[in-house]
Formats: sequence, structure tokens, C-alpha cells
Amino acid sequence: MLYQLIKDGAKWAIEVSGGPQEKSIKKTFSSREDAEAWRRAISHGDEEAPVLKPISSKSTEKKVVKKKKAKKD
Amino acid sequence: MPTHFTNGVSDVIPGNPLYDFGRLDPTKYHIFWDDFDTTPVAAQWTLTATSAGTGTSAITVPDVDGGVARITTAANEDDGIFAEWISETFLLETGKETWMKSRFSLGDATQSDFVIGLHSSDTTPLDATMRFAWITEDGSAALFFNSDNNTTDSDSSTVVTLADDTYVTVAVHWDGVSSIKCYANNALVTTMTSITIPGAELSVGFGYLNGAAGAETTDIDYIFVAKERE
Repeated sequence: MLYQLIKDGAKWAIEVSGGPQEKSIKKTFSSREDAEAWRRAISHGDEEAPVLKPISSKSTEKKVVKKKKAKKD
Repeated sequence: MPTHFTNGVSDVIPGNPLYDFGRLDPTKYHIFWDDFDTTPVAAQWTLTATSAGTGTSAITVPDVDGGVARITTAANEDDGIFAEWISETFLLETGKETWMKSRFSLGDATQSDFVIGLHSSDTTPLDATMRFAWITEDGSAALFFNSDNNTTDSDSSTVVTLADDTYVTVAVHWDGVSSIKCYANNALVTTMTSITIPGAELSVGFGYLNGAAGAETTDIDYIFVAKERE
């Protein structure tokens, strides 16, 4: 799991990513300290690590079908 | 001309199930070895990056002979990345010797925080509850070895003074009793005595943070950890 702390406008955010088949998530915080505290709590087991959802092949197929229909219209 | 043991070699006694196995018993040591021919990925390592400045802190494996984990940092002070093996798989023990060896080159030897070795799981390994690792701290190019069992925090004297973008090879040997021998570039530099080792499992880890503004590049050539199993 990659926990990337970034500046997100006036806020701070941690982008969490995993394997190529997993959807990344972004969690925003009002301060850098809060973001780092959340990340640290996870590593200490005080906070549950986020679970990344798999990118399903079904949803990808649906998008392809929708695009084809749109062309016919 | 090498000596050819065409029937194989053995390091086990009669009656051992591997007695007729023509190679040395690979189960005698628990070994971690990464030559970084492949990128440390999020499935095997927990990666903790900070990219507050311009750019993105990341680890890649570039086209370099020998295999290198290259840390590139974003441009702010305290930007950088730590990588720790996803599980704590090494327990240092009395009666079981342990060796660690690594080779690396830091982008800025003085203006940086750097750690490599074993530590308890933590997004900021420099503050981890327990450590058995080489460390250099922001503002100093001195590399020392640190053994912290959460009760006693012991630092070696300076093992080597680092220079920017210059490779160094470091190693330690825990004798299984109370001493840690510290080596730089394959020469013994100092011995830490009366050490009480960390008493819980530790992860292999490494990481680099900028100590000043400006993107940096740090290369880790390899990490080797070996512990007697029996």
C-alpha cells in the first residue's frame, strides 16, 4: 500500500493506492499534522487500514457498451 | 581454476534429511535479500511518501547495472519516502547470530534523514518503537548504527562519514550474545557492547527525507539480512 501525503489546495490529503487492479482513494484533512497522525495510527494498528476496492472488469465492459450505443444515436 | 565439487557439497550431519542433497542446506538461515532488480511495489512494501513540494516522492528501478532502488523526492524539506516490508519478519534473538549488509548512495549526505535496516512497523521509522538500523540525521553526514529495544536506545559512534552521491557499503554482525560489530566498506570500525536487542519482530525498511528544500535522488543498491534459524 502506498500512502502519499500531498497538499490539496488549502488542505492536505493522503492518496492511498495499491495494485494496478485496485481503485485508489483520497482522504483529505484540514492540517498536515492530522494527515500524518492518521497515517501513523494505521501503521501502529490504532486505525483500520483502508480497503481498496478492485477495479471490476464488468464495469469496464459496461462503459465500452455504453460508448458504442452513444455512437449509433 | 575453481575447485569442482561435481558430486555436490553438504553442511549437514548423517541422518539429516538433506544428507544426500548436493547443495548447502538453505534452511539454516532466514535470509532477506533484495538486489532491487524489481521495483518495491505496494503489494509487498508499505510505502509512506510525502510530496508537499513540487514533484512526487517515489521509488523506481532505473536502467542501472546491478539493480538499484532509486528514491526521488519532491522539492520541499521533509519530502521523501519510506519503504517497509509489509510484515515484521525478523526477531533478533539471544543465541542466534544475525548479519545485515547494505550499499547505498545519498543525494545529500548532510541535509537529509536516512534509515536502513530493521524497525518496528511505523510510517516514520526514525521514531519507530524499536530499531536495529543505520541512521543519519538531518544536519550531519555521520552514519551510525542504532539499536533501540524501547527501553534502551543505543547509538554507535560514527561508522562512516557520508558524502553526497557516493556509494558506501555498511554491515553489522549481532553475535547472539551482547555485541554488535559495525563495518564500513568491509572494514570493522566499531563494536557496540552490552546491547539488549529489540524483543519483538521487526520489518526490513529504508527511507530518505530531504533536510532542505530541493529534489534529491538516493540510490539503494541492495539490502541483505540473515539470521540463524536453529
